[in-house]
Amino acid sequence: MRRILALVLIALFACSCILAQAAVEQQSTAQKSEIVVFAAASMTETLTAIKGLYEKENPDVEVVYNFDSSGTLKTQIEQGAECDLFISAAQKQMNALADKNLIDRSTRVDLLENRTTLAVPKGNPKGIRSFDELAELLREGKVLLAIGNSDVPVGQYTQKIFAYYGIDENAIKSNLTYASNVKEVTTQVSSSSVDCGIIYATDAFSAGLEVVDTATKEMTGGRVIYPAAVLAAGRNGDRARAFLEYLKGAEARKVFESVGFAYAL
Amino acid sequence: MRLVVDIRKKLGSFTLSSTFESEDMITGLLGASGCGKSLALKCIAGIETPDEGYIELDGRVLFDSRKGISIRPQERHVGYLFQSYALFPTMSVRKNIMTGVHSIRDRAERRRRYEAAVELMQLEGLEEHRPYQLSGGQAQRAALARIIASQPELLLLDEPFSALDTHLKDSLQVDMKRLIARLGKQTVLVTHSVSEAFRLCSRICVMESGSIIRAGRPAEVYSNPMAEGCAKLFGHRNIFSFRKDGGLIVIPELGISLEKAEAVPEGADRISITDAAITAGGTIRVSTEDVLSESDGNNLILSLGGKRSLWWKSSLCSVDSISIDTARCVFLG
Amino acid sequence: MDWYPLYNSLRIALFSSVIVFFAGIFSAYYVARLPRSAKGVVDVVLTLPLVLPPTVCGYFLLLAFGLNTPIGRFLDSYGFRFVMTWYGGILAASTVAFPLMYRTARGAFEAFDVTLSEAGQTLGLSNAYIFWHVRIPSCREGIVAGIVLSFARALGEYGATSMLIGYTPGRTATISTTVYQMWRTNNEREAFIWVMMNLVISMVVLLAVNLLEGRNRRRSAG
Repeated sequence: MRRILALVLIALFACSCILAQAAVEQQSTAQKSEIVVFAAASMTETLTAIKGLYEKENPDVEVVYNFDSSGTLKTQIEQGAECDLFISAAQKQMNALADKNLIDRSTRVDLLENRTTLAVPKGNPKGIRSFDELAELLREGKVLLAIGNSDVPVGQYTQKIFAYYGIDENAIKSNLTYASNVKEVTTQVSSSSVDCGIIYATDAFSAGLEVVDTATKEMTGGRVIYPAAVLAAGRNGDRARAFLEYLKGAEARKVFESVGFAYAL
Repeated sequence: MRLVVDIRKKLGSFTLSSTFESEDMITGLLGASGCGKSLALKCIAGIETPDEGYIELDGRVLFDSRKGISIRPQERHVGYLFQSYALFPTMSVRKNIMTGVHSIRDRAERRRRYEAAVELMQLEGLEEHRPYQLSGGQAQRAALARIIASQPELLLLDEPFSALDTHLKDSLQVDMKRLIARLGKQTVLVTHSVSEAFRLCSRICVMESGSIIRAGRPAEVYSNPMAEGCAKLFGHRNIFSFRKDGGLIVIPELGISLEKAEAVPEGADRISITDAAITAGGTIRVSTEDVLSESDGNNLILSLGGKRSLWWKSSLCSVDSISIDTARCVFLG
Repeated sequence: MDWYPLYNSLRIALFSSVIVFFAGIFSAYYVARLPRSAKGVVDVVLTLPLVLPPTVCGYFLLLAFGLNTPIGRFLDSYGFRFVMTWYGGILAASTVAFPLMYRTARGAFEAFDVTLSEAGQTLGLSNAYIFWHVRIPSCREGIVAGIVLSFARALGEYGATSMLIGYTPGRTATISTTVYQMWRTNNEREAFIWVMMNLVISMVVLLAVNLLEGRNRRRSAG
């Protein structure tokens, strides 16, 4: 009896492996051309929705995403990862790639604008109402704030905000927790693991978090601009350019604006 | 001290059902492997629990399933010598023996008991040894010392000599008998060796398939086994069913009829033809099927023309006729 | 150079090892006594963290102890939380290391000769005495192996730890989360230093254990 049960379990496992393999193969033999897009994590929800719309209009194209912090993506591209289109959450990463001649400069465009905000968990346990108040609490050591690390654009904007308030990051280190991308910061705020977090307006909107304050241009050392560019070494340059044009178009705009992005074009 | 045991326990397809009483100094539970004798011993010690029954030692109730009493082994004060001796391998002999007096508060008393046990079991010089460094005999003495130090009321010995070499057994058995006499402790000995039971026990209970099939003084049980299983244990090889026909004993399996020499016991339905009952030459024609030589003679397998053969221990190599004296046969059943 | 991650990782690993030692041997002891039907299920549940990815473990820990959960809220009302504190590090490390101690202890106990325990009982020794002075010493080798494995696992824990306690320098940073953070922020030098430090600690621990085992083996072989 036991032996039969063991055999059944092994058979089920083997079947699932085979099915998974078949599913994967089906995807790749589906005679589609693929566009690989590396995009900042803050665009996860919007770009995923746009993929659905675009693929319906262009059934012979499949858009494949890699969402992560722009810093990580930049590093991956530099190390030779296959990518057709790159959309960064800050100019810094795009500039780095441009310096290395990895992008097709003629396609570079400032696509979106975002805002950096202070978000709190449900119920706002520490009753924080503004960046000013946050600065005070940080100086007094009375709050736990989640931020992106220095490789993440939102983390870089946060550092600008600290500089604006004259806060020494090293002095308040024990009140901070560093995350590897903006989605991780968002999750930490959603799960009430921290008292507050600095994320983009779009992330707060998508996660349904309460935003208590928005950073000004001065605080973040300039506008929060998302540049996009087609990679020079990309295999599907034409398709990528077509997709980028679509992203500039009216349908994509509707999706982006619905979560709080503004158009920088 | 009276030991009363009346227990039943079911383990899978095996059922233990043993009832005996003893006030004898050394009682033996004799039987082949798997007959349940060790299990019975463990029930007395408390390390196995019967499904139902009653165990009493010297007026103290150790187990009573009807009243829901089951005393923990720690409180039964019953010493159990395991077949493997069960010395604690990470402790020296000294520490092992000291576990026997672990619960004694008085340091001086602990010391006294320890020294008495060491002296009695002649373990001087071995006290700091580890169990793996001891010979079989030394290990047995150490295990006994440990038990003696704990001053149990009853001694249970589970096949104490089966782990030892044959040439040691003789002297160790004598030592054991003297030791028990000296300690004056009532003992129950479990063994599969008939000679061991006879040498040491004043009363034996023969067990088969979980039940006691014969109990009594060794000599009495030997001369009158009554149960077939018991007879087989004592070496009876020629056990056949028979029926009475006038003055004759008819044995269908051999195809012969024998004259009845004495009164057949009431209720007997089997006859055991012993070696002593067979003599060469006579009215029964036989053919010697096979001869198995042994150091002290031959085992002849004789065919009488019936379904089964007759085994006979003799100094002869073959024989073509025999006679059987029913007076020297044993009746069973 | 901030040495906090070293101190934090070591204390988390030590606390976890102690917790896991007791939890492991008691579980091994009692699970062996369960009826057959229950034994199989309980065994699987207790071994799960060993085969689940640490991130999955971390997810479940957040599900159970996160600040949005009944348990999390209850503990928080007493001012205690696992999330974003080094206590959470102990919880994460203990969870993933537990099955290692449990399984090795189970194996060691199963090889234990039960007549030793029975002999102890007939001699009047309490079950507790038999457990600590007969069973554990007899199973010493297996148990020490379990302790070493669980300490090493606790020291190197990353996935569940990162999810549960994040990365706060001077508060929740461990060697493993620091290495990741340093690497992510292109601080290669510090990342390398911590990697080397972890390597050295692990080697020292393993060497020490090998020496101990060698000495024990020589002693018991006489």
